[in-house]
Amino acid sequence: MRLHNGTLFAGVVYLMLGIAFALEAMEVWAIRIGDLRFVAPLALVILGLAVVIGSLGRANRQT
Amino acid sequence: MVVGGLWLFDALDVIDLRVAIVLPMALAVIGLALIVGSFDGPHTGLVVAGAFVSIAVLAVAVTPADAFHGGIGERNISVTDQSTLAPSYDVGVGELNLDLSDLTMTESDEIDVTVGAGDLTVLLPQDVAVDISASVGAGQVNLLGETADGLSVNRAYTSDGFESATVTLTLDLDVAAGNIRVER
Repeated sequence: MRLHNGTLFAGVVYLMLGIAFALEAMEVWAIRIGDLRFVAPLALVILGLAVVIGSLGRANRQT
Repeated sequence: MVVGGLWLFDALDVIDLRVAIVLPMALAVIGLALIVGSFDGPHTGLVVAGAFVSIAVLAVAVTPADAFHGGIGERNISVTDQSTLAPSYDVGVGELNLDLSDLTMTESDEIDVTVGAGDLTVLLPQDVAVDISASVGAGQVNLLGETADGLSVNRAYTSDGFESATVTLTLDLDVAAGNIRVER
């Protein structure tokens, strides 16, 4: 099996967005439109994590 | 399977399904499917589907639940007699002009005004102390000449002597996308 980083990244972002807004709809917490400014930097952090994890995985396979 | 199961539970009145809950849950399911599927190569179709669902989730999340009640079009409402003053006025998409400039008030009152997408203009009654709360999801607020614009704009105005006034008017103005203008 070969891990596809882009798909993993998209999956994590969608999962987090889905959980966050489902909880918002259930009034567990409140997300205001101004809070959406955090989405892009968070996505960038997750993308970075996906790249790091992917490269670590490749390094482990090579050794 | 998940959507069908939720729909079934909703039909059985076990749960109360709302778009604001279903869409994020669908997005989370797509996310889980992609995470699992990422070990099996790319899944472009599912990623694109997730992008569309994400846009829908964000749109639903930033729109007030009752934003699109009240229909579509332009409404020009002029109220002069307090007995005909409604507690709320709504327009889904369009323009709402609420003219209270000739309104004669004998007792304090509260009005909620909501526009989903469009412009809201309120002309205040003369010589009545007002307390105004104005919220715009995306757009501009102009409260008696003081303007603010952008995303999630919330502004308030309270007349001098509002607390001690015998007759007051409290306005709660809400526009999801568009402009609010209040003039006296």
